[in-house]
Amino acid sequence: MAEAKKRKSGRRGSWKKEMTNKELYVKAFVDAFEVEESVLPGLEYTGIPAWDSVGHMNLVAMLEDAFDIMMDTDDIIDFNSFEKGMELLKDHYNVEF
Amino acid sequence: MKRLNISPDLTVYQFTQPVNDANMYVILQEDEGLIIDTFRTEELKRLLDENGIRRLTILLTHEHWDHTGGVPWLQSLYECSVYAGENAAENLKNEEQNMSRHYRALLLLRKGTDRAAVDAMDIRPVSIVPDVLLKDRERLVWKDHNLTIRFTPGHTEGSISILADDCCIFTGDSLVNGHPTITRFYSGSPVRLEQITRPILESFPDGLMVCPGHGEVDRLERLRPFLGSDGRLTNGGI
Repeated sequence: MAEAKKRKSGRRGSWKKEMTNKELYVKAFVDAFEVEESVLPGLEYTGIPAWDSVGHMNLVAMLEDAFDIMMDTDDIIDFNSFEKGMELLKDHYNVEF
Repeated sequence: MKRLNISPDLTVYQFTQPVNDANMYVILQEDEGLIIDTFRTEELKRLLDENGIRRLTILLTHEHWDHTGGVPWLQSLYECSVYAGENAAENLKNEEQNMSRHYRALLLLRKGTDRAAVDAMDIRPVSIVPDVLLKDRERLVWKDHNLTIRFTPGHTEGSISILADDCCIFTGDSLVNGHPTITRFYSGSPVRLEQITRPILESFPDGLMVCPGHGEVDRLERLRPFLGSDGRLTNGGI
């Protein structure tokens, strides 16, 4: 497993401590794209209008904030589905789901 | 580089960045240059050096990397004073909010992007601290030119437009040529764009030359169809 890439001075807010990693992950999608949770399984990049390049960067910013990580460019580009994002976070940033 | 004769008294050099088509504008007088938004290109350095330019005033329309990424490079070469809207100050410092940390990814995500062209760009995280923070309606005199600053939030909260000599306006990404304004980036707001920026830009007369952040320079009447947001009015809020 790749070494976790953490922010140098990241801190999780108290509200985050009360949510599981899966809940934080889902919340980022729901907030970034203003969609219902039910549409997320199987959702792919550009699968909805809101998940374009701009929406993707907003999603990445929310995930970085939620998990106190800094994502690499290659991971941001490889992140092409709801499921792939979890895989990348687990394998490259030690986020367990 | 294009040389644009906006009026008998105002010549503007337009540089357009490859891949993302962001515009940089340059006005020269004596041994000084006024630059509105900036990116790194040797063509700019040639223009400045051939004209004996020693000192630069750099005005930033907003914080995003495609409009600010050349600041550290120019500061390493010339005596520079950097100006920006006071509401952009925090985001200019932050490499996430000014998008410099992830700008390469943003470009590569876009369909059909030439990866080699992106790799050739000098994209690196930047943190910019302006020397001067501007207020709404502030008036500046640069050499023979009169500039008026207007806060035009929506694309980002700190976005400004700059009216020059009452004959042209530099709008940054508050008004671009070719599509409505993107309001989904950090601190963007379609509501702010509709309620504040649209009335300001609509109030200017036809015939005013618009120097947009992206796309070709053209008269305001031809850019009016692009006034407005690409987003939903419920997204962002006030």
